[in-house]
Amino acid sequence: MQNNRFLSLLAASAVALGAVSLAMADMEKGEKKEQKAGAVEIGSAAPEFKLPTADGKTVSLADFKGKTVVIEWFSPYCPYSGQSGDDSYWSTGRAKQVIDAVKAADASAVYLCINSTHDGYSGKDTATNMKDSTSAVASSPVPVLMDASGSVGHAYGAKTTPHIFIVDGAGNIAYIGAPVSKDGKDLYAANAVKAIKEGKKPEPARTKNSGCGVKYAKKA
Amino acid sequence: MLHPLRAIALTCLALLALGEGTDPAPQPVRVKDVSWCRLVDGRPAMLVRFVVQNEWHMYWTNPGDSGAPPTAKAALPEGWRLGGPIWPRPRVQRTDGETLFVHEGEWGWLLPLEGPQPRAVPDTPIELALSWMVCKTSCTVGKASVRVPPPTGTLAAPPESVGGSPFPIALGPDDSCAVSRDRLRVRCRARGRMSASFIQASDPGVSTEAEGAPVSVPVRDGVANLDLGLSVRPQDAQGKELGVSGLLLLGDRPNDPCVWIRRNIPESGPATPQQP
Repeated sequence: MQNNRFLSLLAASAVALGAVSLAMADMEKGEKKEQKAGAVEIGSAAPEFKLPTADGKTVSLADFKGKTVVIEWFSPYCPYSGQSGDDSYWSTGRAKQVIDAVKAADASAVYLCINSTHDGYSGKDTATNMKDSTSAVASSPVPVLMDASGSVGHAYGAKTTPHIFIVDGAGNIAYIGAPVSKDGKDLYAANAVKAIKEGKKPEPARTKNSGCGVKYAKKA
Repeated sequence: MLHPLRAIALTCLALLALGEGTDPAPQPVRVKDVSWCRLVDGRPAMLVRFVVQNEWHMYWTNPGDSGAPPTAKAALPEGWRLGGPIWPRPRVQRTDGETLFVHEGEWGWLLPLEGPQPRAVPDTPIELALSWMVCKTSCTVGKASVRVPPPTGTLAAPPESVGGSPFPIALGPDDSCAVSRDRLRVRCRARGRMSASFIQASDPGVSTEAEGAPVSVPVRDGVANLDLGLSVRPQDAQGKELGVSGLLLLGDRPNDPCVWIRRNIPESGPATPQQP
């Protein structure tokens, strides 16, 4: 009889698991439908933003008026961005390398991350998303700004994690693309900051970004 | 007391539940095999066959709005190097906000080898390291190391397609292609297809509207006529030769033919007709 109860319990668990899996699959299908991104161009004015950080502060672009600002779109759940692994921009140390080079090129330059992952992605609630974001960049002083509505991501046209946008001191977009070359040898973002510091236009000003798609919230 | 049929059903469900708890999650991509072939230009090539689990996808050389193409590294004998991969026709996957160029199911990836002499083949095993990004609603990465024995005997031509995804064909003698600083013009027999489109590969320093989504190509009298504007920024070329490349997709079906186009962009001057 006890065996029957055990089997019944397992069977019920299996049925429940199946139902949850189906629900997750439906949810994931929904998540794949993302909004059409807007886009900024080289030379256009950087859209203003005011966002909460993962550790409870508020940061706006206007706070850094006159400074070069490197904005990295980030996700703690992407193996090319904040998730650990051999391809991760953050866990392999490439992010630190770029941030150090940015600071070496211009000590006043600011490096920010923005996480536009919508709340509820893969079952992660807001608190978990924020906690995971913080822990993924814990070894660096870089703040992670939370953009769960995706409005800032859409305003910039951020498509992947990572995806870099550099704003010059005049508030204009000076670089869009990948943080580094595929082989890791060219630190595009740092080179762009160096060029801006020297009063030049970054070359390249545009590179091909790659990575996970930004998991935007669906439009209401 | 349980009915015997109910007991069997519950046992099956229970075993399924136990199975879910003990087996590792299946990997969404596996390398089915790697075989040798010889390309039309005489170079030997390794044909990698990937099998991608249902609902997942890998990426073309230009992934589209997001994603990343697979990469290959090979430990090769002295004097040998890997040439640029040959990509089959990708599927165009559109969601509300994204256009992606993807490979699904079983597909083949050709990795040409360039050796010290034309038509030479390596005579030692090759250690091939493959890595890839694979996505469904979320993404993961995978890797495989394959020891590829040296080829033996006469190498056959690669198959025309793997898993229904055809490899590109070259422009024919009746086709034409001209490129200038600001336009790419291609006339190509549509091979019986009534529609065509063009997708751009990744060309540093050269942007077109076909970079992020297929551009429709008119087909008249059995000929596809591509006339594509180019936006050239040599300062973004990252030291590479300026050129425009991509696939002319004939027809709409995934197994319809495609034509690989690659032309260098002249430093200046008008459009110059080039031989296919």
